[in-house]
Amino acid sequence: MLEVFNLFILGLIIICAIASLAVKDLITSAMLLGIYSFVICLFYSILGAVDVAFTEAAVGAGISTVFFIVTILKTERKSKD
Amino acid sequence: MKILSLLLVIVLFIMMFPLVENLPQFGDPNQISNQKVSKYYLEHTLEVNDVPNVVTAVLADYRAFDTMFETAVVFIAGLAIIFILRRPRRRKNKNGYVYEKLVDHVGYQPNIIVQTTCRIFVPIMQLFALYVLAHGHHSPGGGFQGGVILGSMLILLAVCFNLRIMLQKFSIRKHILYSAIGVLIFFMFGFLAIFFGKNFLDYTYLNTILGLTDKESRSLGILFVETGVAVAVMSVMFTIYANLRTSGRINTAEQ
Amino acid sequence: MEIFLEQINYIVFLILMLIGVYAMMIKNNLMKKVIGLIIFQTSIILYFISLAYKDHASIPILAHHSGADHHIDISHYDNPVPHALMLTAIVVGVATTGLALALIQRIYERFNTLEEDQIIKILKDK
Repeated sequence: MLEVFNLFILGLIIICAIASLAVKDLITSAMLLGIYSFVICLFYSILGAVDVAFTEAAVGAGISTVFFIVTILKTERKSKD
Repeated sequence: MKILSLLLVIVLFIMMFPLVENLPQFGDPNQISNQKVSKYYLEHTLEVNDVPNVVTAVLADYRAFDTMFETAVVFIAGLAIIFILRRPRRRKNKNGYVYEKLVDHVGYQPNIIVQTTCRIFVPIMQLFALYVLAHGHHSPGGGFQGGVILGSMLILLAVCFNLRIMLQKFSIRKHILYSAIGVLIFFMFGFLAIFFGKNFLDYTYLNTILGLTDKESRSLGILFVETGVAVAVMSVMFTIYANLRTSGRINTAEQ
Repeated sequence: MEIFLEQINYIVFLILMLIGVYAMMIKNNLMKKVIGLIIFQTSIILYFISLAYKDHASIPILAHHSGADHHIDISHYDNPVPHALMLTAIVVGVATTGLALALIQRIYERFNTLEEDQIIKILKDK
């Protein structure tokens, strides 16, 4: 687990999570949530959980992002924090 | 309030940080959690049902009770979203109530590039979803993954063409019916076992109907049950999308 | 210090879980609270999948010829039981997300804003 690539992916997960919460535009936030979901799917594949990675890619990076963007369409796009 | 929450989070982190060294060593093959039940499942799953993908065998054969209620949870979530969003939107007038007219305003003209690309993609997605569903025994996949890909195919059709055109071909009432049929398929395959004298969700009752061995009937039972899960999940994903997109203002009398 | 570098998965799980809980407590916007909920759920799934990992082991799909000699060495395959439980957890997570977003649409129709302090102010003024 001390390989450089695994540490890099773990760092990317934390950066994507913090960035998704810190931006003020909600569509950027939804996109970053999709990227977070995709990178964590990659990490599940590294740990050998291929079924869980398949499901996380289909659900998190596909369906959940679409639901978010459709809700932002019906409500407002800017957030104050 | 903000300083208090930050302090609470930091205190929790400092308290839980030393507990990490008490957890079993990462990657140890002789952990106690790898020994008792999981060892039995790994060693005996090829003799009991001929399914090499142990995760599908655990999900649909050894722990089928959990999967049955997971499918019910997905169906209930779809129903709950319908109950939250679909309501008679009315205003009080001096003569009584005035109901808002149910129109769907998603009536834009589909673009020709988007239309053609969608027509190329949709058959490939359907074929891939059915492949993933049918090969759940031998490769990563199964019922839920195939159902989500089918649901994405329906959402792709609704995004590229009108939602109105999509609902004319395949209305919301049919989607709700299909999701109920999916949950019913799963429950039925469990109940039929009781009529033949076996336990609930014991798939070996198929060898009296179809004349197969025990191993083959369990493998076939897993396939039928995964099909039920896929149908339920496909319809629930599209129902949630359609209700979120229009805030519940779908006119089911016409569509 | 070497121990903590070995178990870095669990430390990252702790950090992600606390980011999720912090976001749910602090943020005013309701969509950011839902994003905090999603981050919290995926961190728990990461924890269980890290418990199921074995060194130098392959994915939990049995090679087909090992049915013939009836001897399967379990240290060659990952533990499959947490994988099956986490599939159910992901499904329940997507159902919860859909429901939370539907509630957000209803709240926006009623109050015309998504910021929590403005909603509390409107409720207090009534």
